[in-house]
Amino acid sequence: MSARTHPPVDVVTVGGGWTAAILASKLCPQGRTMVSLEQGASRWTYPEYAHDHDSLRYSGRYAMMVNLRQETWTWRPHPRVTALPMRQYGSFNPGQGLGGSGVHWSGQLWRFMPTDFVRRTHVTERYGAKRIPADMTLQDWGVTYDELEPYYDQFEWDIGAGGAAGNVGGRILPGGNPFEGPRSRGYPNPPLVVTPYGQMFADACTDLGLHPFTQPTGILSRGWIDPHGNARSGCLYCGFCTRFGCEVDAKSSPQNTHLPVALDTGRYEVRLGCKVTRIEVDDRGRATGLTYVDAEGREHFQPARVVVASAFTLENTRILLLSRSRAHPNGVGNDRGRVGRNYTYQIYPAPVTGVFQGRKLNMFMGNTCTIKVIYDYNGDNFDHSDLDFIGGSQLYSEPCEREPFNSVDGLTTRDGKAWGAAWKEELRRNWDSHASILTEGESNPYEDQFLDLDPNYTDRFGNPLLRIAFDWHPNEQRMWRYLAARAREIMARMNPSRIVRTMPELGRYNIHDYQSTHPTGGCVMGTDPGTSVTNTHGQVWDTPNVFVTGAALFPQNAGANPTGTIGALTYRTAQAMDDRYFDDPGELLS
Amino acid sequence: MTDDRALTRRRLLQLAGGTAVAVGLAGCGSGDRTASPEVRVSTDVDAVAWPPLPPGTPPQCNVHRFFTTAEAAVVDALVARIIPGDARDPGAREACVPAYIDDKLARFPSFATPTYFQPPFAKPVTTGPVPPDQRDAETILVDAADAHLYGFQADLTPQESWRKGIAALQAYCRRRHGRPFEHMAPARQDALLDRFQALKDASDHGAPVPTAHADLDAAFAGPSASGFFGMVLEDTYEGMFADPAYGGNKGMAGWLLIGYPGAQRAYTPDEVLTPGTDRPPQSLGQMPHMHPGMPEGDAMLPMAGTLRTGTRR
Ligand SMILES: Cc1cc2nc3c(=O)[nH]c(=O)nc-3n(C[C@H](O)[C@H](O)[C@H](O)COP(=O)(O)OP(=O)(O)OC[C@H]3O[C@@H](n4cnc5c(N)ncnc54)[C@H](O)[C@@H]3O)c2cc1C
Repeated sequence: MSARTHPPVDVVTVGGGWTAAILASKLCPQGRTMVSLEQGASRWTYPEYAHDHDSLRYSGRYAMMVNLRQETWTWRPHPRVTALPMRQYGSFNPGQGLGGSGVHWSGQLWRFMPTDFVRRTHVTERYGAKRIPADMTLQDWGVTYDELEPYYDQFEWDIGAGGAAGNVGGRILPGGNPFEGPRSRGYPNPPLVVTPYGQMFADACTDLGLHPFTQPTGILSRGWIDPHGNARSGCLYCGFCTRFGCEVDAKSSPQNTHLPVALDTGRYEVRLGCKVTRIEVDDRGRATGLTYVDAEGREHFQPARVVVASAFTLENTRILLLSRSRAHPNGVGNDRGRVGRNYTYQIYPAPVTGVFQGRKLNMFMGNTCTIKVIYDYNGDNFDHSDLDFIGGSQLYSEPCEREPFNSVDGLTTRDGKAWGAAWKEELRRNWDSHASILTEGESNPYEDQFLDLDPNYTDRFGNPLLRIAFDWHPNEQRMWRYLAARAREIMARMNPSRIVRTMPELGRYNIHDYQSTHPTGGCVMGTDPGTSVTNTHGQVWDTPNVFVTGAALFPQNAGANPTGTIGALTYRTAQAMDDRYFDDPGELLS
Repeated sequence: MTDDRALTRRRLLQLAGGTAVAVGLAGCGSGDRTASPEVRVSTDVDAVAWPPLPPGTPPQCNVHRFFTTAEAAVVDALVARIIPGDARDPGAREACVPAYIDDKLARFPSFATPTYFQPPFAKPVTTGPVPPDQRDAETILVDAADAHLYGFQADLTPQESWRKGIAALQAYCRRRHGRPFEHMAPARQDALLDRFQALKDASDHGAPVPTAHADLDAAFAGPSASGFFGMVLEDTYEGMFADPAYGGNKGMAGWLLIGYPGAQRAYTPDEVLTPGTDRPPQSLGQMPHMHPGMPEGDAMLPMAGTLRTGTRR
């Protein structure tokens, strides 16, 4: 079958998700032409989300996610055993369709802390190099918080972020996160309101001398017209948020932020129903464009001057590995065998769940941002000198938007059952009177934790699936023990009538429990091609007209959701491309 | 206005060439047709129904299409012990959960939830860790002690699991208790479910089968006893607590039980701040129209087979 070749464009991207939309919104107004090849369908706020409060369809059947009937990812705890496919959704839920995961995300919006970007240097200077386990491949990012700050700021103001600033220009402000890096100005909008349980959590933390604040959010807390003229409504607190599209554009998504800007130029096209299968490379080792298969099974070739892998962490890594050529026999970016390295994730479970009989908590209203958080035990905000681990985690009150069909078994009877007459009584009394404290913890990279291609399982085109080797290591297990104890202290302070469950030990990773869609690493950035795949602009060292966007670039994962940092990095890349790349195409950006 | 912009953009997409849903213009001549994903050809047996929508006509409470009459009696007895009830205080039976499960199985010859169902399937072995390159022709071998970490790995569809699971349960009950499950006394039924629970607890933690329940475990060849029990629980939760548009949760019995107001369009900030709500529960179709001024048809509640307008309150 001969591929149909399209007219060339300046930039072609794998996927039409959030980072692709950001690039298009910056490059197309400057005259660049760009095509995104997106495997999923079109969807817009109206009419697609007008009537979507259907828990079974969206949360139960994953209507917005990558279609697992066609492909998945395989997993094994370590490289010494066989991997099996994640046959049904579990650990993470990458999105599919126009806007990618940026449509069904939760909206928890963070900046990473200044020390996160210099992890290796910071730990070494404060505690000595010996504190880093020999197999822990901790790295500095090569870009600092100060360099990224202007881009964080732009991203937050473009999407109308909500929150209380904790540190403006070094001045610590009440009500915000006192541990955050200095920001050049506050948030454009106030935070969302907090549900009763969030307030109980905050009161307990304050009593204990900790510093609670409201979750910063990418969901509008009031009506907002952004700098590009997008008019959006404030949050309705409807309780159908993560895994749903927002019917009033209150939750920021590419559709109500960057896509309109890009599409209005007439120079951006998202070609839907198109599955990219490989990056084509010429004999000089430069990318020439993308090969893809359309919805009817026909093969196409889209030539471009620049190719961007913007298909989410896992597929970005896979597409580089699948793109073998004479010039790059092990795949694009992999001349030194570094693709797949430093795969990390997020520590996410709930260390403790309590019942507060007689108190209604409104857990089914609002969203994941109508909560309170503490950063006192995140990163290096607490002294690790006498502790047996490095790293930390947020602790926060359980997110709201609770849906009953998938949550009733979270409330068990005293003898651990989620069925029978006694359980029914428990549900009647306490379905909305129980809640957890959750973690969002750092994940460190290890030599035996990486991504490669699976030898046994393929997608519908016969291409190998991506294989993940990942499990918790002793440092993280010790960190969990410490954090779980802190969470129990806070829970005790809230005075629950009963503890439903505690999780004193982290144990082992499994692929079947949802634990955040924050897989990170695999194509990590850096300043040394010996330990990274790209420079700090996401530009691939050995194929400099290929760029990678998104969390695949993170050398390791911090104790926070990724999209704020992904947005800032993508803005920075767009600016470098626009300023310098096209004048001197194919040269490495400094 | 946001809505006008969105609509204009959408119209523009539809005009971009017949079935084409390509957005944007440049570099893409009028002959540049991209097929709509909606017309994607697929060999997937469930493709027409995925992602699943509420059935056009909700199933009737006592009519079964997938289960035989004998099987339906067992399902009825099982769910009645998971969430017991009576006419005054409905449980799973009164809320038509058996009809929900039957309808789900009848509508999905394969899986209702997206499932990667390609071989090779896994075979747990008790000889310890299996190196990556070691496999036989049909199966991938995994250490039985780690099997629980990998989630769903069965090579059976839900239809097969229910059918074979019910047969194994009935054979066990006849042998061990001298009668089929549905004719056992409720206390006996509960005691048996406690044993399933013990097997499930062990399996969830990768612990060996408790010797006291080894005979029950051995009675199930596929699905496993714990896998069967887990599936019964999950389908019962769905039938009792998902939107009544899907046929279960009759009279919103599940939502009234737990105090969940269902598919609400919005809560005010004051409602969020104030503990508790006295809003009566409502189903998907009862939500008010979202975008006044927009064509009614576009904002209809999608239902499988037909399109039905959401009723205004
Ligand atoms: C349930 C959920 C909750 C989340 N909550 C938060 C949160 O609260 N805070 C936060 O910071 N982040 C959150 N995230 C993460 C956030 O959504 C992502 O970080 C962000 O969308 C990443 O942007 P991206 O461009 O890298 O990938 P995406 O936006 O996912 O875009 C990738 C696109 O590429 C397409 N694609 C993939 N492979 C191919 C191929 N071969 N051919 C063609 N197209 C392809 C996909 O269909 C997809 O549309 C959440 C994610 C999920 C899934």
